[in-house]
Amino acid sequence: MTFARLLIHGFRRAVRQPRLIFLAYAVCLLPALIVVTLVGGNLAPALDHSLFARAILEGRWFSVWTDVMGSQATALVPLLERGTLIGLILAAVLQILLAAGIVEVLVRREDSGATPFVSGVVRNAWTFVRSAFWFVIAAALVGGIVAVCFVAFRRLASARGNGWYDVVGLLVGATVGLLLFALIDLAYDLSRIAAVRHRDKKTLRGFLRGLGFVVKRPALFAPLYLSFVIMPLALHALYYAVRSRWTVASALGVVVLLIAQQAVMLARATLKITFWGAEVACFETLGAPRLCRPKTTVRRSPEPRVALAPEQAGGEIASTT
Amino acid sequence: MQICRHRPMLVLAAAGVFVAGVSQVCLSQSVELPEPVSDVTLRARYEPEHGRICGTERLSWHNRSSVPIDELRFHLYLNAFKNNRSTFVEEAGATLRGDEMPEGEWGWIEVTSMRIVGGADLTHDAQFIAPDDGNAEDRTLVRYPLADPLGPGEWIELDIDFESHLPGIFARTGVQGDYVLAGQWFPKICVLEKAGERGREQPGWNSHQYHGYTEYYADFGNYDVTLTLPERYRGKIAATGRMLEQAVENGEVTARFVQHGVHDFAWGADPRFILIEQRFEPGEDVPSAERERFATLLGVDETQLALPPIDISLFLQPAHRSQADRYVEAAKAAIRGYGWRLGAYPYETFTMVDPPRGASGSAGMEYPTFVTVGTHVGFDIWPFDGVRLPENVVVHEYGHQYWQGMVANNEFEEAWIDEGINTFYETIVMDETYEPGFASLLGLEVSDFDLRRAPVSGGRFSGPVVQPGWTFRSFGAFARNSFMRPALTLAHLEGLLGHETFHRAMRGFFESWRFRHPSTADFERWMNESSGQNLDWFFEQALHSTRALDYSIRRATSTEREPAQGWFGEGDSRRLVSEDEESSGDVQDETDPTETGSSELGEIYRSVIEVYRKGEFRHPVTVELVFDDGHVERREWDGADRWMRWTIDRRAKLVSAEVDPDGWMVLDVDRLNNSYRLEAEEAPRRKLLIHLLFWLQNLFEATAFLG
Repeated sequence: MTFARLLIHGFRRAVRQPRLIFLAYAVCLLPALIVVTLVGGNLAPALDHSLFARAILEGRWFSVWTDVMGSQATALVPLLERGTLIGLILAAVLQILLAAGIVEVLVRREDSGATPFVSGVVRNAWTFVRSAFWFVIAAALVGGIVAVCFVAFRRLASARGNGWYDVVGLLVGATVGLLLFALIDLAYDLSRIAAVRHRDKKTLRGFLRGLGFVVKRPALFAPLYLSFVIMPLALHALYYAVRSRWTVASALGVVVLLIAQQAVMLARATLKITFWGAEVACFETLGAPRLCRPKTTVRRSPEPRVALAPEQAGGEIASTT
Repeated sequence: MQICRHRPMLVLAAAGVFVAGVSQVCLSQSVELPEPVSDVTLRARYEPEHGRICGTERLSWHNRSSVPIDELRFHLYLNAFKNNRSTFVEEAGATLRGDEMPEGEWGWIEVTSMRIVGGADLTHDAQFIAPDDGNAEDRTLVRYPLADPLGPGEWIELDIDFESHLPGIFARTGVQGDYVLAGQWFPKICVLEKAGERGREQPGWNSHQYHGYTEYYADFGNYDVTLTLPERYRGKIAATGRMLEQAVENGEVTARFVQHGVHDFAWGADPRFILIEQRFEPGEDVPSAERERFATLLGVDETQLALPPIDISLFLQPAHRSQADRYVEAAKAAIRGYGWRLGAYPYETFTMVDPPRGASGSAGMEYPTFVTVGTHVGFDIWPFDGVRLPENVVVHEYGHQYWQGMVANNEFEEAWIDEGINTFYETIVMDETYEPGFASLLGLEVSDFDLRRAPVSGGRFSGPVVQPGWTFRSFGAFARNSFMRPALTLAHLEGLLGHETFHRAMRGFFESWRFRHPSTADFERWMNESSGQNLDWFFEQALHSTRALDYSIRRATSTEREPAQGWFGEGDSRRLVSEDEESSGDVQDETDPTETGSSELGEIYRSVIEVYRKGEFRHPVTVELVFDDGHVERREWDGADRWMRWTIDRRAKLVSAEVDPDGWMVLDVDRLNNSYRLEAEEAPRRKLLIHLLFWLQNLFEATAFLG
């Protein structure tokens, strides 16, 4: 199966780029650590000397949490509200910059220099920001469609007096949302790969042509994107399945829990680079189309510099082009 | 005007009305019926296409006061939904409990005729009144002057014609398609309070308009109600009491319901209903070991805890069929839990109506022997199947059969008596029946008590518990002060008095005030007398003030004492103690000034503990001190001053100090500061933080779509 080979190829590329994995991991860790450090400092006087706080170790979260949130001795609510908002913004900016570097590394142009990640960030940042702008607009449209779907089924549920319409609405909305989101997400990624690959700047054109490009190849992109969605979910499901068997009640247990959680996040970062690798491989095997240029000028790259090494891509992938 | 001056005549008439079903509608033998203040015979026809009820009411009403009455007062509750100038809509903004009144689907009630039987026509004497806010546009309260006053102990018989238009489902009543829930749907006579009742000096009407947050107040009576609906509602009509007859004629179904000893009558119908009938059988549904436990707790013979059988009817939406057992089992748990603690449920039937999706405005409401519950199909699907909201609603509404249904307080003025006390019992029944009591959702376990406590943690109360419902700052403030805070107050009181004293007092209060109208003062007086303690200091702060209870260990230190140096003693016994010199002797709690810091018995530590009253609520507290030699001691402080300090010298180091070591002071708004351990333990905080870190990482990972 082509998508499976693409994934395998992506995974191989990922494990050869441990620094990229670490950066992908750090992008979310960094803002989270900032917020957690502030919260930890704020909570230390209230929690570290309180016998009541031991309830946390017994798994009785809710009762402690409500007192922590309500306590006048802590400033948890403003810290979490503002910290989370700032963290989200910071993470979003870092994600865009990270993608600019990742794509540069994975596409491996000659002019990328000795430090392709850094040069990729510098060279592609503005292009990727503009590209993100179109993506956000498209995502908002998808969100609107999903919301309309939910509301329509909610109204139907009320009119018919049957809550199953809510459930159906949720499923339909989620399915429609996933389909549309997959479409724009793949187009977004492919347009950025094309922009880096060909040093093009027309991000809107790339995005729109990327949409058509994806729509025409559902057999390839549908299973590929589905695997992007399912694998992180499966990872978390596995974590929760194991995690829910124990209540961490000791200092050692806390350390083990920390390692387990960060291993999950590291695995997610690995998956993320794997998916990027798979998308780049997919783009190349499909002829590295110049999505960001007018259709009339689109032609094969005379010398695809990023042709997959046989040992990397596998013969079948090369032959699909 | 003809006034029935001989009650026996009325009794005979009433007996005639009820004769058909008398054997079926009597209360269980163990509980006596209340003397009816009114006999109500209603005949009503419901037209679903217009949401209209056309009805006639034969009302026999008793002036139980000691003075002549020169006017009658009636609630016309449905007029709260007549327009956007009603007091209800002005106060609540046409929203309640998160539900919005459907736009343009107004509701109203009009008395088209009011006549004294064989006497004067009062129809055109109606005067709308607004004693609470003077709102001239409010039409929820009406008075009818009587030309001939009704003497003390006399009865009056009235024939009333009325037309009600139910609103779109909102605020406990209304219509949604074929589903109808008719609450407050007929002219309801107000409560005439006697002298001495609820602190009243002179007899008089206690009548209020329908307000945005408040519920109702009514006297007990006997109801005989005949409802006519289109034939498709056959077998799908739920109502207060037991259905005695049901007949189909000319495309219509007519059903007759009778119930004695209740203060309201509501009904609901939906052609889609599935009727599930079960019976609470004491032989099957009551574990004997539990009964023994309650007999010991309450100090009564086990025979006094006998519970009668009850017919449970569940009118269920087809979509919720799979949740039928959850509803019924919760009802049985409530019947046991309330019955054992307070006394047997005195009626023969208990009916639950399950509103359809979109009719949540009518969900979760109590009427005598009849409640509306509420669920969603989602509560049958993982992970929400671990949320016990359907059970919670059943237990809570069943509990209202006791608090407000039987102990019929004035909900306008003192909503906490039924809502607060009932919420307290709800938490007990939920938490003893289910594990955890309220929810188990993706690893988060929440007891019902913790759920109820959450909104009031942190304190910052905007008003006292005891105040008229319409004077609260917001619905949230009303809910916190009428449901959660008084429930915590009772849980706190349970700890203060001890389980046995408290539960015996509460059972006594219920038995004493069943079928009566207690006030807050009555409750306080009863608890004082039953417990043998003067609890006024507690009630004053917990119910009548905004004071928050918050005691903390502000400081706890334990340091090795410096060796004694210098001159000690007087006269001949004066001696100089140098740094090298050691003295012996036992060190107890108090300091021996010549005791040095060390000996073969071990180091001496000076422990200083400061307890601080952060809130304005003054309350005696117990402080537990734990030393590293295993010694544990408890000290008492009256909690009156702002702070208290103890200095203790002991050959052991203080490990921790804790206010309220038994954890019953649940009114304490911040339990984190109740204790102080000298050696910090970081594991709880670290566990919390690494979870927070994980959550935040995953949240921020959502931005990965941008990257």
